[in-house]
Amino acid sequence: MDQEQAKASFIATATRVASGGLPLSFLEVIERHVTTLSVVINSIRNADLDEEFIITSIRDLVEGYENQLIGALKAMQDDAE
Amino acid sequence: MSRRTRRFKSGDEAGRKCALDRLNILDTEPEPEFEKVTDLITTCLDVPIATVSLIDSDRQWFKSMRGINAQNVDREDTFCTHTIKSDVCLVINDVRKDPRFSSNPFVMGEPHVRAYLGVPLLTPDGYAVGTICAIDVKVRDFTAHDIAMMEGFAKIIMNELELRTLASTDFLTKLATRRTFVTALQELMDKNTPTALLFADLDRFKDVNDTLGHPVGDDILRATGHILIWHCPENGMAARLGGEELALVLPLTDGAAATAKAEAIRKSISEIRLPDHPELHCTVSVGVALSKDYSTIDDWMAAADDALYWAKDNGRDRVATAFDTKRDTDAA
Repeated sequence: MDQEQAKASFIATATRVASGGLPLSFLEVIERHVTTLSVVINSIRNADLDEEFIITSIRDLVEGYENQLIGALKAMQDDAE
Repeated sequence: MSRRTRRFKSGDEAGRKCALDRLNILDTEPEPEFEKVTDLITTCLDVPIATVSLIDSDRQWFKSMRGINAQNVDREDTFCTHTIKSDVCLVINDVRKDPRFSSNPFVMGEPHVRAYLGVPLLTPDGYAVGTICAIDVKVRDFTAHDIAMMEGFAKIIMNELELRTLASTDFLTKLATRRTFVTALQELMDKNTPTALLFADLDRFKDVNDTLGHPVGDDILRATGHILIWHCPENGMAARLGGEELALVLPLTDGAAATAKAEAIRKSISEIRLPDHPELHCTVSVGVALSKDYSTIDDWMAAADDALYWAKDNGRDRVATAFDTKRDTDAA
């Protein structure tokens, strides 16, 4: 997953979240994370590391946060019920 | 060097500790999200040691570490204690040339730190609750790129922690959610911590929503949330269980102190005045139960609930306890 795909994935997630009418503070945290992630991914790319390591790292970072996001949304849904 | 955080709160150790406690992360199990970051630090910066640490009152606790084998170290001696005194990174390319650290036990002995790059973990409200750091056993020349990468990792960690905190907080009142509350209650019971539980329910709240509208009801809930947070001790938890049902958990609190606290909350809530509705008079009924009298949290919560409904059935705007046969304290 490259940087553009990572961003697209997050934007899609953020859009799904937004359509659910979640509070602004929640969306702000997600948006901030997308920005941070872009910066970190660029840093990793510029670190002259093994390409496979870079790809794995980016995937880990993106999927890790998506898991966190899904966990948070599930928790909020449980609370709402 | 990165720009200073405008809201950084330096020297407020009590506030810093509260901010750390709000994260509910100390002494939790290892998690892949943090392991991933320490792995990235060791590879990207080519260092043998990397940590994600939280700085408690008297110890540095490692949420994730590579290259060392400790869970806690005395906070007094650590580099990271220096890192959290500022909102910018601490870079020491050769610790033996730095008089602050040249005779540090982690320099003189294992793991023989020679170079250190630490970045504070800053909460959105400006408290440095911990650090991420890269440590080498040889002299280094950490670059601006290294620093930028570490700052990015620190932000990733804090964003993830903030997401968790948001998910465990009721957006309207800023109180803990029911799920978070039940988890905390279970932990206290598992540890046999003598704890008082207060259940509170705003009286005739439905009438407020029906007659004045939900925005006014929300204003009352927000004001009530502020009151509960104000009355909540550092080791306690205030929660919204749903609707107008609220709770306060008071560890290490006996019946008399818990009843006095419940009475103080009842009085504070009765003093809520909304500028646009000065005629509105809020009251609350409160039930109190002590953990020592029950073996399960279900029984404990049911007892607090029973006391609360006794208070409701006997005139509202009052405190009732599960442990006092007389039950009712002085009514308003």
